[in-house]
Amino acid sequence: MGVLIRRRLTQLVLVVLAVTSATFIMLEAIPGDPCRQRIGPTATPEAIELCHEELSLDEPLPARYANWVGGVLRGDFGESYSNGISVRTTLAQVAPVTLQLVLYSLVLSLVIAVPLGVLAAYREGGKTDKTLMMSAYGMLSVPSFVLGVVLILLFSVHWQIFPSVGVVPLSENPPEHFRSMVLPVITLAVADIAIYIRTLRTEMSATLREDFITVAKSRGLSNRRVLWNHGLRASSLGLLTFVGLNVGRLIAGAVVVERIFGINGIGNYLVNSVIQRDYLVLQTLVAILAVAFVLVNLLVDILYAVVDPRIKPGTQT
Amino acid sequence: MKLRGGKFGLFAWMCVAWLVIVTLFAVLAPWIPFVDDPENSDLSVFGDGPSWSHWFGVDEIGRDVFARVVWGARMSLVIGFSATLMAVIIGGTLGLVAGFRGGRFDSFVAATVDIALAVPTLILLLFVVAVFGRSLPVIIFTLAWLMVPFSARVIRAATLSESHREYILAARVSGAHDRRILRREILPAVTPVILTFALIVVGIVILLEGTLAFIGLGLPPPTPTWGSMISEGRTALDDAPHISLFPSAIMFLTLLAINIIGDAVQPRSGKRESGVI
Repeated sequence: MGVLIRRRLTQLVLVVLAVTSATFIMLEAIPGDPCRQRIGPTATPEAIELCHEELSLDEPLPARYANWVGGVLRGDFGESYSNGISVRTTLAQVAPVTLQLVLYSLVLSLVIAVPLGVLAAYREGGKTDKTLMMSAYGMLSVPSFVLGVVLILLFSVHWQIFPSVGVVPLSENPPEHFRSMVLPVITLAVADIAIYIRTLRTEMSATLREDFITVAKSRGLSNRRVLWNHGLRASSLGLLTFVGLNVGRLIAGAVVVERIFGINGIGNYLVNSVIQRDYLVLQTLVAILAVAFVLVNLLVDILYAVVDPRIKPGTQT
Repeated sequence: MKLRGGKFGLFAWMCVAWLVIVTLFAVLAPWIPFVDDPENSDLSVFGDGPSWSHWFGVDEIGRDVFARVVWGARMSLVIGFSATLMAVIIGGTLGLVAGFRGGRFDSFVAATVDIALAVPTLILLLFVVAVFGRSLPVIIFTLAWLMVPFSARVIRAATLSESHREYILAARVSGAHDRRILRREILPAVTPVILTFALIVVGIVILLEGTLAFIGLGLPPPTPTWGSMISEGRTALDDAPHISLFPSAIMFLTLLAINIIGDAVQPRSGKRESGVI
């Protein structure tokens, strides 16, 4: 276990160093001055110099990099170039709704995919299985923005059941909160449902051929028990890995979904920082998202070893 | 590597036919008489639904949606194919050499790939576009570059499993040197994997480009792309839904066709799919 964690932590450090230094260097390469943009076309050379000093842009690159990394480690992410609000403050405002979005769709996709995946494996080769696999293909091939637009057209424009813009905070009005989350969560979850069904089916159909399943059946256990207690437990490991790897997709998906439904979360914050060329915000967000992704996968690997003690951690890449 | 015989049924052929049609339209767009100029706007008919003169209707500023979908397919295919070609050549070479040689170079490639894959693709894409601007070469190079680690990983795995087989040993024993084995034995053996994989990458690249365009950070207007058309049509969903729906449907069918063909030609092997879809 120690080996695994050490390995992953090394990877985490390498990822963060690679991402942050690469972004830092690339940002240096671009023409354009954030100060000129901030003050506008009327900027005098003195004003720009003052602004440079304020944002410590006049310091050499390595010093600024060290400053920034040091700040991030202390939990101080710096301030936005464009409006001077600290990244931490904005992040505290926008993060909850993104986390809710990701969490709800993770729960929804698992709740739907697990029974269907088990069913497909149980009926492998049959009609149910084929129908499920075909629908999974369909679901995988819909880009989330296409799905979002179609859902808005049907449920907001046509039938007017769910709102198409924004999310009501949970603390303000729980029923409305969930109602406003329905379309975004479905949009985000559909591709994942397909991925999880397929993964679980592959895992389960391999598991169901193993000896211990035959033994369980010959002991006279009911199909249901064999499937859920013996089959699913053994197959859940593969699924778990996929859930971890999928967090990257979820993060990217959240950017799109927040864009479609006008939700003020991390994704929209990110896109706006791109549009406004607010590089400090951009850099911080990229680093945070990369770290989050590696951390989740570290957690999955640890869970993996906890669920199945036979697995010797650190032996697999 | 045997192809799944018999599984390539009618449905898969329909998908091939669809891709052929889309490609033909995209390639021949400037010369097909019934494909209008995608930037030509006729304000007298703006927002009109499908009709004989405008098969997919007209958008908010009077441009023919069908023509824009066809020209959008051109963009999608140019980006999809050129980015994939670059990614597979660079990533494939890395993967082949790393998987065959093993040793330090292999560990280095594997570790770098792990690190590169640890960052969500779309996030990196957004970042690069913010820095280098929204031009066609930037988008193609970035997408290619983003697909390199993924290509290297898949092709490395295929090479690795191939290089430990007996016939490679036999070739070595009969005196073939490394480069010959790589070119004459391993490359032909992993080619089916590379081709199947390349098809899937084309799908991923088209999807990513569409996503970028939808967010509003793809090729700048007035260049028609599927993603930007779907995005622009959103404001008119209540009275002119066709503006978003036609490009949506075409894009969905194209990605579906790519996925189904990719599955149908997948080399038969007991191995699990890789982690990226």
